[in-house]
Amino acid sequence: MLADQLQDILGSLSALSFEIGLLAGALLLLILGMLVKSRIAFKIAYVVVLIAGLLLIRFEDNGLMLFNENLAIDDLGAILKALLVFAGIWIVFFPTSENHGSEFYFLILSVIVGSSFMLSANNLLVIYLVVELTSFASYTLTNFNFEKKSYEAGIKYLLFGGVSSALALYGASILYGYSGTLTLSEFSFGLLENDYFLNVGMLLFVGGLLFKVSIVPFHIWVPSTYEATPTEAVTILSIVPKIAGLVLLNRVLDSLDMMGQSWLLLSITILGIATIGIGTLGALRQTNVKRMIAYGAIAHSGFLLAAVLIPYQNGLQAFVWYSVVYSIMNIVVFYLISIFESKGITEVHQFAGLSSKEAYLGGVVVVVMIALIGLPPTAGFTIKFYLFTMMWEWYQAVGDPWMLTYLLVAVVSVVFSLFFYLKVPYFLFLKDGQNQNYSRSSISQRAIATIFTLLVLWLFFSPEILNNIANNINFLDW
Amino acid sequence: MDNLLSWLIFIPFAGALLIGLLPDSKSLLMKIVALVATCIQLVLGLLLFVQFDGSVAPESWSEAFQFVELMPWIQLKVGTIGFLQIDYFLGVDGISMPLVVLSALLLVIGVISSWNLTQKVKGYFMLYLVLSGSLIGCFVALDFFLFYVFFEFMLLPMFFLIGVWGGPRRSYASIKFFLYTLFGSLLILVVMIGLYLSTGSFDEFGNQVNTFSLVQMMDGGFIDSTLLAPGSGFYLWGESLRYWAFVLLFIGFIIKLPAVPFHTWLPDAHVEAPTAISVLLAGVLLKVGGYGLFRICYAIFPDIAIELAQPVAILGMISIVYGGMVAMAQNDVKKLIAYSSVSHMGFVLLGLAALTSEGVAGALFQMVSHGFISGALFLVVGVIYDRTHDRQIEGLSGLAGKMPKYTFFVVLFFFASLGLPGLSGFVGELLVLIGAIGAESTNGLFPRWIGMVSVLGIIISAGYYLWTLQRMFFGKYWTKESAWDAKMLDLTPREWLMLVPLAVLTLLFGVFPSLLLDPIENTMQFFVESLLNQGQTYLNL
Repeated sequence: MLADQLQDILGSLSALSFEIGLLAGALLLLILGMLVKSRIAFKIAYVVVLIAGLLLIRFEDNGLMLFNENLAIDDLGAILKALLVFAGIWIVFFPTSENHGSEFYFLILSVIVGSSFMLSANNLLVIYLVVELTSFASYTLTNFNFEKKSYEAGIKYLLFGGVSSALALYGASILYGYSGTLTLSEFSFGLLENDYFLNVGMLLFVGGLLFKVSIVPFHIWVPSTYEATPTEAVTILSIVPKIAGLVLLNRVLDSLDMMGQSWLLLSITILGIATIGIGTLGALRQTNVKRMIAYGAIAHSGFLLAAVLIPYQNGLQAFVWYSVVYSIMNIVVFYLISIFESKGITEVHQFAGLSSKEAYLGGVVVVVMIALIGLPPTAGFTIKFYLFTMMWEWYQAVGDPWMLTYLLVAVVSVVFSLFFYLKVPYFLFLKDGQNQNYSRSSISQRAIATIFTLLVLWLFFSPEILNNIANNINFLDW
Repeated sequence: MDNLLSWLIFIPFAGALLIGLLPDSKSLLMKIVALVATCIQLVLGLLLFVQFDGSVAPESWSEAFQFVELMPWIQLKVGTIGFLQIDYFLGVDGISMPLVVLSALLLVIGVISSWNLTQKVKGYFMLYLVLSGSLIGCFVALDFFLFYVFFEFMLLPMFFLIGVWGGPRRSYASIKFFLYTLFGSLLILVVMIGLYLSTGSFDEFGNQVNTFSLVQMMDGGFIDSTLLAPGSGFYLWGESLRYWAFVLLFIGFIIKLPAVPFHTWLPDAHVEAPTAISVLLAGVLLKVGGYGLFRICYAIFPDIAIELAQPVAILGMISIVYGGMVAMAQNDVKKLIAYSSVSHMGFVLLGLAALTSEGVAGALFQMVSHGFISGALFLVVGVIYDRTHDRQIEGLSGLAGKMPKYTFFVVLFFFASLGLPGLSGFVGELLVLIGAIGAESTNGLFPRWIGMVSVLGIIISAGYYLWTLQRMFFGKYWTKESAWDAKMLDLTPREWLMLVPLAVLTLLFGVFPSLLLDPIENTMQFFVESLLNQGQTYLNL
């Protein structure tokens, strides 16, 4: 018996080479930080660790259950892990990331490791642990600008995070009390779904996850955190935990097994609709670029949540599409923000008249903003189009009026998002301003921005590659 | 020439790329590149007009198109739904051919009209050429997805062209333009998704292949029991989903057209836009809305077109009369012409709603002739604006004595616009009114009085044009500011070059309307017949 368990644990370890590799790398990075003082060395070591991790990712067509069903490894997770690592690599090029010590990269790696565990967690306690791992690293990252504002944002984030994890833990205890198990794949709540207390427990637990993926009303920390956190860390925070958290949410909801009947699902749908609405409307009044993009990212969470709520393969495929392109768009938009930030430009009105000096990068900004709005010819349009298709299809299949509402709100939000996403190009090109002291971006900066922009355009004209990825994933129903 | 339509689309894009590569200082060269690109477009457009075979009498939409180019573009496996097929699918029929030729002509005139531009020349002509390519693409795309991409792709260049090179309130006007049209196009997007999920066929393996082909949608190739298939029995708030789809599409396109009550962006955009962009906006962009109504809204939803004929006709009537009355109250000549555009586009709605061959042919004729005339009217206003930087009617008087040649053109185009027989505006409006008044006795879609009230529109337009002529051009010569006096010279050669072709065309189409009506006749005939038959069939399901 004990021997069997030991065998299970030892056998499971090899399937975790990616996570173990990244963790070991993170620790080595800390040690390296004590030995050398070269900033460049940290960056190189960080990239090496990530690339090594990328090579260690294992694809398991039929999935694996590890550690007594505490972790579930599948294709979807593997693809998304690759995506998280990919998103992680680029932050070393950010011009604002010059002065970070090794501890910064250690924390970033912790976020990535925590998030990749989130992609496979299959047990309420494990979920709690890995969410906390991600969160604690995130709280600390918020303070890396070392100003009053960032401490304030960090505390805000910590308080909200702490309360929501406490609630999630409470919810998990209720779930455990009802079902007698902590393992998601053993849940069968279908019979009990009209029990309100149980539903409250689920709502509390799910709320802890909604906090991580910034769904209304758990989104309040987002704007100030994004504003105060170093831009390269924001890039990670806006991509990595969000995607992982939504996959986790999908697994939790799937395990509850209550397609379209429970008021829990209905309330999450309504929260998703509210997220799109509030994210979009909130962005309209922002004058700080990062805050604006933060609200935009909240709205994008609403879109991603829609993909999670569409059951089975259709929803997950839309989710894969959306998360890949969303990551690319976010990397490039924060990269651009970082370039301008390094020149002291953070407020929208400071962009006035910059087109006379920075016409090329201005053009890049236009394309990226268009992609974030979701207009052709960018991949931003393709993913919205794909997602809307799936929503329509789900509406056609079950006639759920809330899905139609979701779709319509999402469509209308695009019009509103035009307003704020176009603010920067608007000031860049349409307004006049004084910019004598402005120094132009370097060629390498423009080149990196261009590569990503071309990627966004290319994925519109030939989306087959994305389609192949999404279709080759064997979506498992644990 | 093979791939004529692709050349028409991609030559301006190539031109834009070329301009992008030129150094900033070579502004003359950029203008020449733009001129050459649009001139090639015009030549190709004329070739299209000459080679178009008007004698083809189609039996179904799949036979109606000429110069067809079909290449698979994107094929995706979409979840459990099946396959999704997007094609690079181009072709023209009697509806789109005249509009392509019209655009090609106005695009050249637009370049000539912006020849004196000095500010940010590179950006201007790049955007201008991108806009040119997208416009043509919109008219020739037969794949809904492709159409939508071109449709959206026009917005951004237009936004910047108005926003950067426009008048004092340009930023307000450009944002308003962008928001209105984007809102409209998103309504179209929703219906597009629904339509492609409802249209398709099965391949040899039994997989469902959904398609965006407008031809298949027009021919009724729907999949049974999908949301937008006729007679599928899906209802929302008491009406079928097809009904709501039609309404969404209709709103989307009449924002572009524009018709009352979605017209308010137009005067702002026109007033602030530079002259060349006003010409394109009035001459071509509005036609995209009309074209969308023809090709998508009406041809794909004939049942609802019949059901809603009366409200649409009434909306047309309101646009005609209300637009005219508001035009009469304007003091800014550009605003006056903008509102008169609303009024004249109302005729398109009215003619289309009638679904008689006169009405529909008249609607198309009206679109083309309004393209020439309104383009010319904005050029004419541009002449005054270039000299005075002012467009107020009350600022000038008695110009006829000082600028007789200019006044000749003004009178010609004003009369053409108010529908004087012998000029092209008359033909379109007459056909529309015949169609609208005759609808009661031919297909009984709506009562006579709607057409009769619309006749008022012509009288009103006579009112505001003649009044403007009287105030600005006749009487004693006077300028509000004495500095203007020295600048009041008659037309320059460049202005002649722009105005003469439009004047000739206005006369030509007025005297020989068959030049345009003959090639489109068969398509129009088929359009009306198939619409009425198909519509009845769908309604009986």
